[in-house]
Amino acid sequence: MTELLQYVANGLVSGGIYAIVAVGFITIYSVSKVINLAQGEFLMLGGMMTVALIGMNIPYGEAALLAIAAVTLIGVLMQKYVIAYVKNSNPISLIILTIGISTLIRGIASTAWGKDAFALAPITSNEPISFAGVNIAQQSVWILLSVLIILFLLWFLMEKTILGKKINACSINPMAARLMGISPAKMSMLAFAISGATGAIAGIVIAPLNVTSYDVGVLLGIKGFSAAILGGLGNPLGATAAAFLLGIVESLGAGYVSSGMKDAFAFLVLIGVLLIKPSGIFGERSVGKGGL
Amino acid sequence: MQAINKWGKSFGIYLLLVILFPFIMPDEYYRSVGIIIGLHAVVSIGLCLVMGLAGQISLGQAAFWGIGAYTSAVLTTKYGLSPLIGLIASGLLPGLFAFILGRAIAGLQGYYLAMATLAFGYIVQIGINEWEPVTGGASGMISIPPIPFFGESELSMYYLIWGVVTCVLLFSLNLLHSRVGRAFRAIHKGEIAATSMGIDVRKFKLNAFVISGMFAGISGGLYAHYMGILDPQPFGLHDSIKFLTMVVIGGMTSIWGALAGTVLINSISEGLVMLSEVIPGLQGDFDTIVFGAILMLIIMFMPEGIVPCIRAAYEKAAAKRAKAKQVQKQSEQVVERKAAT
Amino acid sequence: MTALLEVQNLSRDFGGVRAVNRVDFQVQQGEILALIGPNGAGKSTVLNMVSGVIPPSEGEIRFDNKLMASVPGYEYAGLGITRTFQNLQTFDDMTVLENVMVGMHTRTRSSLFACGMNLASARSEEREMRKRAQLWLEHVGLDAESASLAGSLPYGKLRLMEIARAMVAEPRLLLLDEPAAGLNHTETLEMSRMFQDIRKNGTAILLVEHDMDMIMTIADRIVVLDQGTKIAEGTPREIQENPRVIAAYLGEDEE
Repeated sequence: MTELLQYVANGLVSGGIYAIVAVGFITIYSVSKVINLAQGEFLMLGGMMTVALIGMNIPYGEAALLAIAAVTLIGVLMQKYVIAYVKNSNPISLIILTIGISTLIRGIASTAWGKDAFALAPITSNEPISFAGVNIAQQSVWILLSVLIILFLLWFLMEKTILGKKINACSINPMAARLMGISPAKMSMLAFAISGATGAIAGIVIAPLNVTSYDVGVLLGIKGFSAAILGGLGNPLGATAAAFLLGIVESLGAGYVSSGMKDAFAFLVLIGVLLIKPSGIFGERSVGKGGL
Repeated sequence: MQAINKWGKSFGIYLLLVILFPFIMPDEYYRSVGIIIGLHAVVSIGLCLVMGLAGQISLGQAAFWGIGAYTSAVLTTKYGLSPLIGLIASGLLPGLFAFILGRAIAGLQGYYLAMATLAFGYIVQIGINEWEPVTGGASGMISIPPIPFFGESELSMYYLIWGVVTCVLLFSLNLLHSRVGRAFRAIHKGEIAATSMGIDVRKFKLNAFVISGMFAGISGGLYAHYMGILDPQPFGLHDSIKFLTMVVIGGMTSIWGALAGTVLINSISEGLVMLSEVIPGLQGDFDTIVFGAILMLIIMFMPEGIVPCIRAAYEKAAAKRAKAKQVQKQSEQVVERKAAT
Repeated sequence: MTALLEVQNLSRDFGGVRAVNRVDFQVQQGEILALIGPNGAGKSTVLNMVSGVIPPSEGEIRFDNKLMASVPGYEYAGLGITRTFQNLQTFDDMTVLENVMVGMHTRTRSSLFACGMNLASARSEEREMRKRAQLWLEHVGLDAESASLAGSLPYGKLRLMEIARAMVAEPRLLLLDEPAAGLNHTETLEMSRMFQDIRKNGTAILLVEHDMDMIMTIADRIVVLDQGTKIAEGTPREIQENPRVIAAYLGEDEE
């Protein structure tokens, strides 16, 4: 029983990270109808940049903030100079384009920082917290906390603020939004900024727990995407639930079957979902065409 | 028939280059590069059928390559079968995998398909790593027997591989200008129109997928016997993206483009290797910077790819020349008529 | 004699809006039936359902006494229903000849393997396809353009190419969605003549069209739709005098 609880607890932590990635996908997709396959690289950049900045004797907090700002900027630049440039091309081109960006970022990271894995110091001590026989790293608490805060803030932004309404308007009908004086291009840029920032934060908080290296982004990206599809693209709450589910399934699989196959479980789930119900188990919401 | 005339000239040049290459560059090293290019070409031509013609995408092509390589390697080293049987199996098994995966995802498009194939690629690489009793896990396999007769020298291996490339190339070109190839291209342009012409879109997409899997598998089998050793490393995302880049840079809709792209990307890779010997600071997968940049820039500025662009420019020039000729002829006629009156 | 195409109680909803409402009509062997009506009357929707592009929400379509509900879209051509599209669906990066050859897909059998290996059977079939496609291109007057890329052709010629592409499959029922849109008077006349030829050779035509001159000359019977419902059916003369039809069209003119 304790074992089971331990696995579930571990699963919740990684599920939280997948949730951030999934919501990042959805944020960008809902506004610009682009699936940003470079989403996972935002996390990698967040973690690696923080490591690198700390290596340059910049204090932890400042390093993290700088990294978040830098990744946000990268997101914005990516939208402004690359995505916006090929706005009307077909889905295959957009896939290749974002895959290209992600490959480029990964290549630069591996050249700049090498292929070694780096550990980031945890925010608070390494001492795990014991609760009913289940050991939880303090960092896990930080991860879950930041995940929940980010998800809440995103929900608040999208549902309760004028800005969120504008973003939604662009998502539903860009033409009408433009007529009302909302710039879809600006909203799209904002969406990239949001996913960049949230991705970077997720990348930073997870780095102390799982080491970070130039290639962590791909796996996180695919898993986040799996969650986004599972939950139904365009449905952030569904995606969040799916992400936690995915994390738990993966953790149970790793615990009870084989730890080496951990990643394979997530992908089998993805392929399974695609086979059974490509529109996601929690249903789709105003996804639009966008080539899907 | 007309198809042969259509690319007769370029095919002649291709054959000449392939035959003469080992003597233009008589170094063993370049012959081995030529072999690798040939092996990659088989994979990228298959990928081109899937992407350019049937309008799908596969981000897991290196996985089929890997399945092919390991199939033949395991059959020959563990079970002592002849490499020829191994090679046949290395075409069939990835074809079967492609069939199962393709059947499952035939209804998928765009991003879903991209992600499903990406995930498939990962699963295969993880599988190879984890199935240690058979595949040797991360440490790999050694002493895979060479192919009899051809495996004796780089030169004969080179001709064997390029013989296979030529067969694959001819097969694909024939296909392109046939009922089936037209069905592929029709699907790419518009599935509704294709369906109303009586084309079973799912079936043809699946066919393209299976063919590409088989091509990749055969190439993988040859790779295993050529190298003699295997490890899971070259069958992951890095190489899947490399194959993607080859097809995209050459021109997704062109078989010749896939071939040209393969040569180009491998040359760039070779150049980068040389560069890394000169510049000591270079580390990591810096070739992926180039691949990523190529993918990005091609889509942004030259989405058709290089070969179709060159062809369009050539045809434009030809049309211009024909027109100039016509104008000249007309003016000559006018002059003649004037002279007659 | 049973009808070639029998449409019964056909309805289609788009997100709660009823685009087509309980429409019945029949197409007899070798006749030209025109489907007319003001904009938004649901004509194209009916055509899309009859050609298997979208499934009906309710009702039955029978072709040659066969219930079409369970027939997948790609089998329609083989059974003998082909069509053209209102907003042209051409394969722009293929030549005109190749476009028409795609139309012969259901009349040919060569497998992927035979095609890739360029077997004799595939080659002779290819020659046959080429010949027949060429023949139809001559019929519609596009033989001079057969080697041009479809993408380089003007609108009117692409319409002709679509007709050739639909006809090489030797259909028993040809569905035409506004074939004369964007054509000038002479071109329309030529096209009318061609449709009469096609009918003479035994192919029935279901025609959606706005050009009244064309319809009145070539249609054997006319079905009039207004707001998704059939309001009249009859010969061209009957339709011209039908007060409901006149009202529907006048109503549209006032807008």
